[in-house]
Amino acid sequence: MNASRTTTPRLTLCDLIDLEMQLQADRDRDSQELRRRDAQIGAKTDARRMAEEAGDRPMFLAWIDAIREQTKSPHGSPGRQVTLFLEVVALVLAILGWALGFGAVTGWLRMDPTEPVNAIFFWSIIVGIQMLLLSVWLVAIVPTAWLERLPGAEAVQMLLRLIARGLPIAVAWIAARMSPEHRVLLARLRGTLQSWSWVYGRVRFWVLISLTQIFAVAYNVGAILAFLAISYGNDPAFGWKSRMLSAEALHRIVQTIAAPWSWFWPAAAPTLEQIEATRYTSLAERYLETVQPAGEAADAWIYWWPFLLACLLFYGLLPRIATLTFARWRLRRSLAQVKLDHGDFYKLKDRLTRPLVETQANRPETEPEPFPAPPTSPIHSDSSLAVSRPLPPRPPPPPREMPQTGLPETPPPDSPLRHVVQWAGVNLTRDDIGRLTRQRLGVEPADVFTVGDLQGKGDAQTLAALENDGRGEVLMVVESWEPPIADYVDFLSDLREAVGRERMIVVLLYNRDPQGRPCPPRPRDIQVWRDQIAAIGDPWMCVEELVETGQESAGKGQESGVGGQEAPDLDT
Amino acid sequence: MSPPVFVVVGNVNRGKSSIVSTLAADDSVRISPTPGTTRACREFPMRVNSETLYVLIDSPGFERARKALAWLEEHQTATSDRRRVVEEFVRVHRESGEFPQECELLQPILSGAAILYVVDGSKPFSPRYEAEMEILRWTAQPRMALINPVEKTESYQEWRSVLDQYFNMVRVFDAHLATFDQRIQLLTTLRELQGDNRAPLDRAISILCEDRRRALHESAVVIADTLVDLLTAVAEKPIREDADPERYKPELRDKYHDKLRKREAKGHAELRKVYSHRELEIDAGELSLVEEDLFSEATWSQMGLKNAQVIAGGAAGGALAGGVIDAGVGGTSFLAGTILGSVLGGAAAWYGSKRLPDIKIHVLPNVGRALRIGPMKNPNFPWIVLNRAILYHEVVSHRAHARRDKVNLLDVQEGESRVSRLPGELRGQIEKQLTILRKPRPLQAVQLQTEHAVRRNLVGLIQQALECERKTPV
Repeated sequence: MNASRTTTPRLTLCDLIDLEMQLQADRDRDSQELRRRDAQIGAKTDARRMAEEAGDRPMFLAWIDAIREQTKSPHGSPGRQVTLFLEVVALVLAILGWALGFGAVTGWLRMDPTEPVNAIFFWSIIVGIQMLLLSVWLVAIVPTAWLERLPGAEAVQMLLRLIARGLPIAVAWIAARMSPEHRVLLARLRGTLQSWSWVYGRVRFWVLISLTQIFAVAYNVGAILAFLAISYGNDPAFGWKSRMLSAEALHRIVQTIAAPWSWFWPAAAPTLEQIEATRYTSLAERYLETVQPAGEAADAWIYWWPFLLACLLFYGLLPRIATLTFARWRLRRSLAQVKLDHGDFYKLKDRLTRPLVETQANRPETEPEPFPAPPTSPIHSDSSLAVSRPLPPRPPPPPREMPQTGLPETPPPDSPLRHVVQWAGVNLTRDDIGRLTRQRLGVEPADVFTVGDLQGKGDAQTLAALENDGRGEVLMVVESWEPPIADYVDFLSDLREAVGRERMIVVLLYNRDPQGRPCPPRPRDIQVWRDQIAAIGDPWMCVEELVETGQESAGKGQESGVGGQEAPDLDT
Repeated sequence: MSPPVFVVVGNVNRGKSSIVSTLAADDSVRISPTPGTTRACREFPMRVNSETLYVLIDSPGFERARKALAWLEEHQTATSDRRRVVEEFVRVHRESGEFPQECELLQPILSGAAILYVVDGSKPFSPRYEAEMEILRWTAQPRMALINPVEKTESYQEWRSVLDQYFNMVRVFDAHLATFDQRIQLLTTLRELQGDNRAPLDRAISILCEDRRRALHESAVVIADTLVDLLTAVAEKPIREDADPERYKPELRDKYHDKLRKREAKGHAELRKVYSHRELEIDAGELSLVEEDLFSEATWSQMGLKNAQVIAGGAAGGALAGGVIDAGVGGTSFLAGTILGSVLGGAAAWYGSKRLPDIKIHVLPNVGRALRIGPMKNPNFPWIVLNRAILYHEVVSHRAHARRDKVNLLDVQEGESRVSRLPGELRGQIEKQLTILRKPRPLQAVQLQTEHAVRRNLVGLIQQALECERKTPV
């Protein structure tokens, strides 16, 4: 189908309905979903090139083809359903028209066998009324610009409009008897149809006109078939009677009417003699007298037959075939002239010609796991840097003996022994550490080790020294701004292994301000460290700040250190 | 040729995911202060109609860089052997399950990805980072360092001097404040890492710029649609012939206001989608439709036009109409039409600015007796809506996707309204379209046709208004 679109981009009624219905349905859809769908179709059909080379229409048609392909319905697309319905309506109208035409002529020809068929009357009813209706129809379709040139045309159109107003009046009459809610629904439906008719009014007009012309063609076909069948089977007699018309006057009229065919079908234009010969009065006796003598005189009663047949053909069937053809042509032209440019098409074009740019992840993110399994006991393998594995549960912790803030700088003489281990990034001097631990904990460090160096030599030496010492608490100073990653956790695990159970390990969070002075850590960092240490499950391990809020020098606020502002969340 | 691949690596909590989130314009990337949020590599392919132009990979952070480096050094036999040792490291530890994060982040690098190493410029350098950088150097892949963020620059110089030793390029990129232009600038820089394979990135940059331009246009369409819908909205309530209309009025007024607010919210949601903000929370406040808010001088000067600007707009419209009369009489009126029209227009605008739509009884076709409220004729109302839409667009178009904090629209404004700051000529053209829309047309077909035309005209004007907005991040 796509291939044919590139060569003959013709819009059909089915396409138009499908386009409108799809755009209507898309209004309530997610715009991103639409962008994705249409950009894919646009790329597949090369919409951009198509729009540049052949305009928007082939692009929209290729789009609706693709949509139909995607949403294959067992009942066909809405457009297909509507066109199928219209075909059924056309068929029903054709059958009705045929039946009506056949019935009318049959009834007429077999009405009264005792009297000939009055050709004038027959012509007026079967052909004349049709000609009148055809004239009205022609005036109705006259373009507005031509109305002034045709006398009476405007009045006819106005009359037709008045008649057309009958439908809304009828609808209003029905609506008045409905509940208020239903009335609003009906009004909305009317509004939607009206807005559609604004855009596609001409198409709708010619669809309806085509249907009426199918009816008219079928009517004439039925009439002609009946005329032929009854004429050959029933042998009706045709004559004329009129006290108003003389034979000469009728002959002139007949000659005028027969003008279109008399030059090639003279038998279908009765002569004056034939007209005179077929005149009769209402008196049956006259007719009977005339008819009874058989022979050449009796043949006169069929002179009218070819004339009436020609009238049916030339003033009934042929004009209606012409109007049907014209209506079909105008419908195609209206479809060809439909501007696919209202707001929804505008958006659609953008979606089709805009490349689908996707930069998002190709799969959803998995839920983060809880903290890694805590290495509660280090198990050394062949390497001193081996990763730890968990230990069995331990007894509950003893009450902590953490000194309170504001303690004197000089530790009491019986204060317990404290070893300080600082991470390389902390980078404090021994004096600084001593001052800070005295301020915060009221203790003097027995010794200060540095770990976390690039080669890990400090780690090994510190662990060995603490293992040999075998007593005292360990204060491990870490950078509060660094997250408690596995590197720290592994070391703490190794440290626990080295110092054994039940020796307190206090993780002291160190932070510094832009001038390099110690300051309290951010509450969020404290929380992250506490969560991680709690996950290790070591009852003799805890987290504290090296500098508490209010304790920092120079009155610096607690949010002034590294990452001091509550910076936007960072990732891991 | 396969598309360029960039893997974003670094220590834990250094903003890797933020950078990916901003570069990929994907606010679904999980960003958290808790370590270990990113457990596995996640690909962010930049696709254009299913063709991949480049791939960004978010990776877990280094957790045991020192130990990993120790292992590598232990197994190294020659300097030329380093990449093979890294490959061996990944192979061995993938099987054993040790160093899961290191194996995960090294895998794409060993498959050929270029490296974007992220550090936090506000945090001091530590020896651990040297281990990470050393490992990355061992992979022998092209690499660039990104310093993020730069708001606090005390450690910047320290970082810079170290990074220069390990990386081909060092750039500053603040993932939380990066604008679209900075994002494009970074992509342009990434081309340098790609050697001969620059074409896909060039194409990606060109397409992203084009997409940005079209997003602006799409936003203008959304705002124009919202504005026209809000200005033409009405609410109706069919009532019986014998019903007391006063009983239904409060309910109908609420319904009308609710309809306006919902339509505005829908427009805002569409704007968010245009710029792929799925998670962004914006507190736009409620579109105030109560008399004391809508007509207060404060609201006007804050969110709409100033009194003088409204009157000037009305006067300009009136002058235009009067000018037509002057032209019609061949100038014999000595511009009386223009002057009178201007005075009347200004007066009408001032008077109209104090009015809210009344509820009136109408006889509607096919409905019968009904109460109707709307459409809104207040001249400042569309300007308030437009101002809010411009502010909203400003947020969604400039907001880095890495940001997770909520935005308050009033905080964004800072001072006088955006519409007040528009060039007078542009404001006049918009006002002209709004005036056309305000004029009732009895025939529905004509009304629809007018709306259609106004929508189209407004799109271009609103696009110009959006281009006037500030270009700095929100």
